[in-house]
Amino acid sequence: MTAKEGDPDQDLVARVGRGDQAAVQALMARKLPRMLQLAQRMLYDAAEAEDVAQEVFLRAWRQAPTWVPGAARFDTWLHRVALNLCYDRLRRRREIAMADPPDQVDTGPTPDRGLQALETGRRVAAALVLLPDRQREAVVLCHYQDLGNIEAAHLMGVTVEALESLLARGRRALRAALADLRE
Amino acid sequence: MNAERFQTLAEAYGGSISRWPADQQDAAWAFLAEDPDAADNALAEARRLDETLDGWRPPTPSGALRRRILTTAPHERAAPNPLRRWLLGAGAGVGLAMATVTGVLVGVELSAAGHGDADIMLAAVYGGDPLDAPGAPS
Repeated sequence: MTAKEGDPDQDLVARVGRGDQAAVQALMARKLPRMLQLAQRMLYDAAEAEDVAQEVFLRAWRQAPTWVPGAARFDTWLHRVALNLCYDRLRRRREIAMADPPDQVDTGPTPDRGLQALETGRRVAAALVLLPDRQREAVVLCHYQDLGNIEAAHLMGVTVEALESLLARGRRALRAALADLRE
Repeated sequence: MNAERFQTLAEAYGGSISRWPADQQDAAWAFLAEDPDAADNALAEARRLDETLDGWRPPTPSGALRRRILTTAPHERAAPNPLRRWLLGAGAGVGLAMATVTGVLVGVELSAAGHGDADIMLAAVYGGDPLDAPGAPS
């Protein structure tokens, strides 16, 4: 981030740091849906996603009084915290899965056409959760969180070219998994 | 930009050029004008996947989650109430004044007391004959 670009959350975060309740409400309204959706799309588990969102905000409240703008946008920092918490949980899941493999994720279509919207959501979620973590992260950050390629690559600690490759492979796999929905 | 690069970008970033990397957009728009059929095909395919992906809308944050998060939020340190601050100051002042007045009254009373009374008090302090007290005639 350059000084010229600025951080759109900077003033709000400073007010949160001073305990301004209106700013607390405003920051939560602005960021909570994004953080919750990020966690839900990374974890595909509503309860775990809520826990992650709550922890993200706990850390945000702690960080706000001492937040020094300049190194990164506050939104980018929030994404980093949320992703780290998601990866902690994914790691824990893998450790448990090795000891006790879960049931296969059901990716097949359901017969009830009346529930098509719900069905699409369920199928997309199931296809995303089956992607390798890094491909899923790239798709979630760029498609759903609408981050730019430079910011997403920075968050993931990869080059822009590597991000592009992860995105292309992830989307190709999703296209194949969801081909019947797109006909 | 050639058709292959355009296709790669559509596959990676989706069917909306405005969401592609900023430094690629001008060239992409130029390619679209130059070869609209190839560009439209690539974009349409990517857009179909975008729309399918947008079919998953996770639920919005619940009221319970919002309340849980708010309980951990920082709170403004309450500014001291001016009336309370005044009353505290006034109370301390009154207390100090009363102590001063009491001290003065006790002093006056002692100096007005007869020698007999003073001797008794000195004896109580020094635990013996008033003549042992400092300043007593030797």
